[in-house]
Amino acid sequence: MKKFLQSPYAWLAPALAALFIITIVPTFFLFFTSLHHWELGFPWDERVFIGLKNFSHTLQNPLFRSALVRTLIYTVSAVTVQFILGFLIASFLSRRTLLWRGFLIGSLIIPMTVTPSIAGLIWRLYFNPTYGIVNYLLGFINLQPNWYGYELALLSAVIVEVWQWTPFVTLILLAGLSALPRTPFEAAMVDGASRFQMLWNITLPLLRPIILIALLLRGMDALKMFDVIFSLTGGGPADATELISMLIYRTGFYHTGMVGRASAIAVFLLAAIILLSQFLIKILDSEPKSA
Amino acid sequence: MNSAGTSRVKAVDAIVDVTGTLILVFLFLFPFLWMVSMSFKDRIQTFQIPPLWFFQPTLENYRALFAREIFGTYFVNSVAVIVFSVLVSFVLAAPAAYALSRFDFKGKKDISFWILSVRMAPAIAVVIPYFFLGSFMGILDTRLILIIAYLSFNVPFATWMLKGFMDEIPTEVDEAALIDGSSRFQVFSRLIIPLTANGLAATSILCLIQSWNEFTFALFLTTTEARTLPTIVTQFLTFQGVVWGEMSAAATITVLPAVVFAILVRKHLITGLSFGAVKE
Amino acid sequence: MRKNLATWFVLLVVFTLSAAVAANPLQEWGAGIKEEFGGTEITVAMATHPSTDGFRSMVQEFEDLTGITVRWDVMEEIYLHDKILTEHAARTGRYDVLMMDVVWMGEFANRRVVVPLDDYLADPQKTPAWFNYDDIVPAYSQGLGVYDKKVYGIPSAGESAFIAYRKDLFEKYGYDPASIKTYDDLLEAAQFFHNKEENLAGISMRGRRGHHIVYGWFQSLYPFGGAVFHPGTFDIAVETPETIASLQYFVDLMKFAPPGIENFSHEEATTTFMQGHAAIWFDATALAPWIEDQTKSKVAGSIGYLAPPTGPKGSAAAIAGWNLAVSASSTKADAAWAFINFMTSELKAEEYVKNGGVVTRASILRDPQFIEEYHYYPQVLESLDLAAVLVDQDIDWRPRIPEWPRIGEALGLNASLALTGQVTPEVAMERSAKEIENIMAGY
Repeated sequence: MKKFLQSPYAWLAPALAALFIITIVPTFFLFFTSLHHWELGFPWDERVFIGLKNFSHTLQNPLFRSALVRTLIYTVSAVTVQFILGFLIASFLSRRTLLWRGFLIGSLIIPMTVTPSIAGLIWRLYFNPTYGIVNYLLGFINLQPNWYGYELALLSAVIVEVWQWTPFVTLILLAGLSALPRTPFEAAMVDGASRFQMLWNITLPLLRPIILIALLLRGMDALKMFDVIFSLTGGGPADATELISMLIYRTGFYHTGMVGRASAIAVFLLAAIILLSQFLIKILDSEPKSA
Repeated sequence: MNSAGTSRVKAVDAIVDVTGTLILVFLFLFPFLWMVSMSFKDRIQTFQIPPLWFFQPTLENYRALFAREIFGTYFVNSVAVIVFSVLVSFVLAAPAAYALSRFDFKGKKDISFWILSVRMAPAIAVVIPYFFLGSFMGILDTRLILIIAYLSFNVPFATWMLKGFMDEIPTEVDEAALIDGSSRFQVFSRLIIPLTANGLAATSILCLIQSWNEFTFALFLTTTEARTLPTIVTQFLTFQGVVWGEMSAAATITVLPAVVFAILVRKHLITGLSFGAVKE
Repeated sequence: MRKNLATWFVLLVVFTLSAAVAANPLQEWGAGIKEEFGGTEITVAMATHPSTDGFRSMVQEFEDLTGITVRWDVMEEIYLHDKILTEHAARTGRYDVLMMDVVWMGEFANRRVVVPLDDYLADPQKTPAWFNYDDIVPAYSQGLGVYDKKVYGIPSAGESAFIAYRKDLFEKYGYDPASIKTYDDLLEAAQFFHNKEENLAGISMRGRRGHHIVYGWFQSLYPFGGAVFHPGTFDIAVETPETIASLQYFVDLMKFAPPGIENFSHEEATTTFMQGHAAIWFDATALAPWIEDQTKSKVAGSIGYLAPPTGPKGSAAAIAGWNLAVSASSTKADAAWAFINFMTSELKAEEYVKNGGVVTRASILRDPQFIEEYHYYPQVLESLDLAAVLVDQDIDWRPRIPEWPRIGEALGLNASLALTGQVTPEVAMERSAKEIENIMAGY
């Protein structure tokens, strides 16, 4: 037993075995159906092998291409705002003078705990141009944007995403900030460095690994965001908020039911997420270990 | 620095604190509180413009919600599924995280990335295979199928988080214990686990939040017996429209357990979330 | 002595029971069902619809009568559709009774999700006289429940569309509602009231991408002479000038809708009217009890109703609704049929409608007592006559073919592009025609 536990594989085995068993069927099924024509509701036996046709169809589908670009815009803008806002809030919360810190941290957890589909619905009500609270408040500064319109719909989705998940980034960065070593700052202070110089030269480099993990987890989830969009805009108006996950749903389920074709789109999405993660992890690893 | 200067700095600090606090509360808490207020309004009041800041609250929405026989069942199902799923995830993830943190071996990077990649597939793309799997095993509409499905995103998440926390503990700690004659398992269970208690708390709250709100699997893999709370939203989308009051009431109640748990582990959450990536 | 008393008592009970059975056909029927299916458990999959509330209010009686236990799985209709098809794909047989939107009819019948009911209806043993299929409004029984000349569903909720207007506003500005006879009149009225007061729009309808915008736009499709297919064929007709004109009309009309109309589902369309932010509302007749509910609607009590106006090519009105159907993978089909029988029968129709159910039976729609209570019934009947115009020509308001959901999706996207001004109605319909061609080719 003792010897057995010297091997890392013994420690990994339960988790790997469980994950393998749980995900082998779904993963295999996903790739397998992506090579077939199979419609929801028909028996599994009535699938037809069609090779890579689903993939070529997806690549030729203009909706897919625009959805892919839109998903990237959505993810990059949401995660960027989450990072900037999260960093500001984390710096603010790490101030020693701050009263009510516990209360504020508690408040920050709340948006994450609202069921996403309900979050989408309540924000749809808040964004209503006629009787929503958002435009009522904006009315005090004479603004009446049409959040339901083609131009602003994607922004409204980003706002909900930012509201719900900035706290996640904040909490991670806050933990990172509170663990920062004091020595480099003291040394910089002696050298007369400005606040900005300290932030740019010391804080951000030290926080880099944490920032990347936060971005990795958020980015992965934003790329496959579904629940909020589904209840907020349903992908519309027109194609204004049609993200890849909406397209998968629309193709595989309601109103279309082409499971094979939806699986092919999902394979592309999976590839995109894996590439992006690999990219971020590479950056993570390239960081020279700080002494 | 003279005392006038100090007090001016203090005054500036106070102003920054108060403004910052107000902005934060307005941005993040207010939208939630507005939803809570909706749970005490009737339908006409919900859409009132200018909005009603003060009104005679009604408990009708809560009464109607609790009158739904399903509410209690859904709640119990949610708790049971999440407790088991998170517990099992930790039992699986903690040793895996230990291996990734403490051993150097071939294929380590690939294995850790494969573990993470398991949670990358969007739920809507894999829900049908899970359904077929559940149907084949005869466990559709049981809590078991949900627990299994939730492992697929909780185990990777917990493994990555816990690995981060374990990295934070200097390796000298276990090496000393190993030289003293402790077994690997003793080091793991008596040293590493207690030392990562904070991390476990932080990870568990994030796992809990993710599972607590999971919707797609919960809806498709269950019928009447094992439904969980998030799916209750489908009952509030009706032919006439959205039942805002009851839905807000349900959402408010759904948030409570997560918030209570978060308050309990609040301290650990902040010290625990650093992933150990930043070291002195 | 003791024994004697007991015998007498038993005899008395038996006598009373048999007398009651003889007196009430429902009891007699229930006893027969109980003998055969007592103790069976059936699961019904239903939408969050007022008719579901109506059924639930009567289920106790059904369970007592038949000894069948009913389990409910109720959810929003889009989820319901996907859930039913997923269950069906794996043939789990866990649903026995399905509530089916008319637009799913072709799809469900074609995929053998539901079974034909003609044999049940023809068998007096299984369908007692008090069910009375013929009492169902023909526009419904033909327009909702039939596919490929077979009955697949019993209409449980039927609706057309009509116009509701604010009587107080029309009076205040001296606008005669009776002057709204054509679609041009409707546009004029909407324009007249638009921004007449603060936070007041001319007309509120559905404009959200998908089946919502299709619902809004289709109100004017047939009156303008448009169609999806040329009648009696599968030749695509969405590129005809008439179809384009009807979409153009809808886009023009929506200039007098509240801001944000492009994301309005029935939720926003109806709430806007109920909160007093729109002078006119054009939507489902089945929603009338909702907008007349004093506790939910600010304008309840001051609403007047109009049947849909006439277009350049005549009149036609929407037809929509729900059926109860027997799931093909159910192992308890007869018990499921007993449930449908009871719930949608003529005998229970009055109780059903009073408990929130949506009327499908002529006997109720023409009942003076009901007309007095629901003052909009005459306009509902008028709309139904207009809907029957299409049914008689064998035109489906939304074609009941298996491909319809996909076609509706394509139309919904392209109409939304037109509504948001991304493309002209011509281009939108050009694209739709191409997409429908692909869909019909099975591509």
